[in-house]
Amino acid sequence: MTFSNGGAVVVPDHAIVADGLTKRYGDELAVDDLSLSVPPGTVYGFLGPNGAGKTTTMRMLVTLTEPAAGSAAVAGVPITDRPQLTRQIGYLPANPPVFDELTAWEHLRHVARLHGISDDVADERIEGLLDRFDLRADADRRIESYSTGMTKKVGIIATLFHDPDVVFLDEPTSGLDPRAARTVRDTIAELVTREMTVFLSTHILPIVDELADTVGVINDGRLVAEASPEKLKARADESPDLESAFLAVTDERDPSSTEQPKADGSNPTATGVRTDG
Amino acid sequence: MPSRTRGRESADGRVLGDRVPSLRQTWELTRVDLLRGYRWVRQQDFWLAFTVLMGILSVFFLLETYAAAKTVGSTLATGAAPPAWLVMATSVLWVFLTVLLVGDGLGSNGDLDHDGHYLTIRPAADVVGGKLLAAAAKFSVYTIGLGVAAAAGLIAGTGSPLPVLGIAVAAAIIPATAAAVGYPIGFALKGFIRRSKNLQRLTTVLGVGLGIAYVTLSVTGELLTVVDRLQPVLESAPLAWMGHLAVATTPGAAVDMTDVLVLLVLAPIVVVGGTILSVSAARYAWLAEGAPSTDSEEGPLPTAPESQLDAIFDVSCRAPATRGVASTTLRRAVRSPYQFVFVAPPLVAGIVFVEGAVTTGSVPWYVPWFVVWYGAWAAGAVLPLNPLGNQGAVLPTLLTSPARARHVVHGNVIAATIVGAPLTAAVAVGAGYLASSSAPVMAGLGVASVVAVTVSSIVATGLGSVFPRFEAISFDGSRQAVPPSKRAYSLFSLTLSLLVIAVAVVIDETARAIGAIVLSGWLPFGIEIGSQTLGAIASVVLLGGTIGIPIAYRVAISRIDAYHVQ
Repeated sequence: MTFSNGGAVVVPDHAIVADGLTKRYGDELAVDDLSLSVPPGTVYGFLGPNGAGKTTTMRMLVTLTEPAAGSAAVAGVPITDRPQLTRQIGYLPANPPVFDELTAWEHLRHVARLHGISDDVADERIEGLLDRFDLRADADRRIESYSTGMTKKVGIIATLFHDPDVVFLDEPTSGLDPRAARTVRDTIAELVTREMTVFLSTHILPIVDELADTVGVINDGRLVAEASPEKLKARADESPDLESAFLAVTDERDPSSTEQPKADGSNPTATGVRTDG
Repeated sequence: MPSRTRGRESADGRVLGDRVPSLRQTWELTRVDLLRGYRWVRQQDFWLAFTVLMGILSVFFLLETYAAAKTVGSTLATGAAPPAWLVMATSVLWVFLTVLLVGDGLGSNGDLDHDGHYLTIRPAADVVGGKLLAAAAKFSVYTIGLGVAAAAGLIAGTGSPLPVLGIAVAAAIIPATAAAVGYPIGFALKGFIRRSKNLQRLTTVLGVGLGIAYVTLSVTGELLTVVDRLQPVLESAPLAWMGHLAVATTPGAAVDMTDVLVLLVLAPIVVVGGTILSVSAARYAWLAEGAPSTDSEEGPLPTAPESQLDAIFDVSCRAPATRGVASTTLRRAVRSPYQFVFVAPPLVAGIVFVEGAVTTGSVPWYVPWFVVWYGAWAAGAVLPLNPLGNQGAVLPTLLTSPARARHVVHGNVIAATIVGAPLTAAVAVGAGYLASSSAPVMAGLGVASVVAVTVSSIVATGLGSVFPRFEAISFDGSRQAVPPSKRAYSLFSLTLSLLVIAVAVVIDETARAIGAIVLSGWLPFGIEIGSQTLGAIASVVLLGGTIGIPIAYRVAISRIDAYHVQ
């Protein structure tokens, strides 16, 4: 993974670096002083309860939303530089971003054009990915007639086919049948072998357990744990699995729980301070 | 054998329950349907504004109804028979409502599984009952409005409150029987269409054909001829009984009460019979839903699509991103044309012009300029006026792609002008020919059309990017469209009107002269304005507009490039 900066080719140490990212919606703090770093060619599993700030974090990292404070860089490009950054990333929101009125092929060709890819090159890549995701036979049907899973597949293909350096996937397997979910898992695993970095947000913990090199857990806007899956599982009290670990970590930070964390993070247990993985 | 008896009763009850709606459940489903409809309209600003506008327009119609009813009341008080036009108007109202209800039953409102969960809780008969009663209640807005105005007029004409009774009963019976007749026809038609692949393919063509036929009949005045042809039916039993019922309790009205009594007996039979028929017809339509077509599995695998639209944009757009935005924008507009509803209102005036052109063979001098204004306004308002909102769920993809704002602006402007400019120019020049415009004016119309459409699209992207709107408006079930924001819509309409008027004043001597006269009449303190002064002012407006175009372009670029999702 490389990028050009003033003519010199630079290889960034980290594919994603965030430092003190903060986002407010009115008085509500959606993301609070979030810092993380993701090495290139790895999968970062991003977990958290509903409304914890996962999507807002991803939106800030892909320049869709401006942080109130803090900074970040993706593929070595600051998130304030959208024109440069968009050449390096792919983003799949939780709701597949597709035009229902178009056929899958038309939609993918549209996205290819947005990336400046010529139709000939795009069609070749689209054909291969449609085959891979078992969508080729339906590629000339309008997306409005597709099932949820088929629509999701179109969104995934549109996110990946321009070969970005870093991809942000928000719930990529929700709504997919087991076979399609397996295709997505295999695809993510293959992406990493091609030195692509994957920032993966999902509620399906076995996928994170299987694929992630590092797992970050966000709760109530704060990153409450960050470790390899094995180290995170070791923190679980009941049984050494990711679900128990997730419940334990997020429960520690639950504002309604009896043990309130200290704002300065001086109590490692209560704040779930990071375990370097 | 008590258990066997109970079993048979239960089976009989089940059979009856499958065919006849339960009154209690029908009422509950209707109540919820009306409540949902009320809340839906309240949240949809477009439909709320439309409802208010229709309400204001109907005030004039209702005042006319009141005045006519007052005269009729005075006449009936002398013992005269109800006038033939009154009876016919009531019959026309019934036929009108029945046709609308056939369409309603045919549409998604008439789908039994439209609210799918009901069918898992209650028998289909109850769902049908709820749909029929809700439809009758919704469409009774026509009979209630007209009924109140007519009753007030009759009371004023006769000096007695008794007319209210006949009007109220008629106002209830007309929509109830119209629903009981219209809905089963709509359901049955839907069943036929769903079972026939040929009819399914022809549905759009038939719909467009019916629409064109209706507009043609309207603008040529032949709709009244059709009504005249139907007069014998409309003035005869049983339709005429509706009119007799409406004035049955008006003092002095010479109405055959036998007709009224027969209608009062017949109406419940029609309602019950129509409801039972509706249950069978609705099931017939519902069960016609087949498995999705498997054509794609049988044929060869699809290859990269080729279209003439892409071929055109290959020539006109250099950047792939511009080509992508332009072709996708146009393709979506054609496949989901609900966006065009937002630019339809001025066409009402267009119908008047077309009617005049058909009947007299000529059009007033200002009509070609109206065409230029409308073409430019519609081309700008239908697509470029909401460049961000039109992206819908795909906005994140656009913003996180290397495509820049200039590609979005160029794509929108090209999509609007490639269709809007030639269409506007052709219609404007044609109208200019009918208006006996001079050759220079006709040439001016052609040039002005192309320039106006292009300029309006650029101005629209500027205003639309400052005031984006993302909330969609529902038309029917899942059919939605995102209109421009109210601020963008108003500002754009005002700006474009000023510019087109300024062009007309500068180019057309007649427009200049008439404009000066009209303005002199409107201006306060006796200020008068000469045609030369008006021409100079128009030139200044045009100059301002000319300067504003690049500003609008720059604004659009900077707004879209810097746009962040909240």
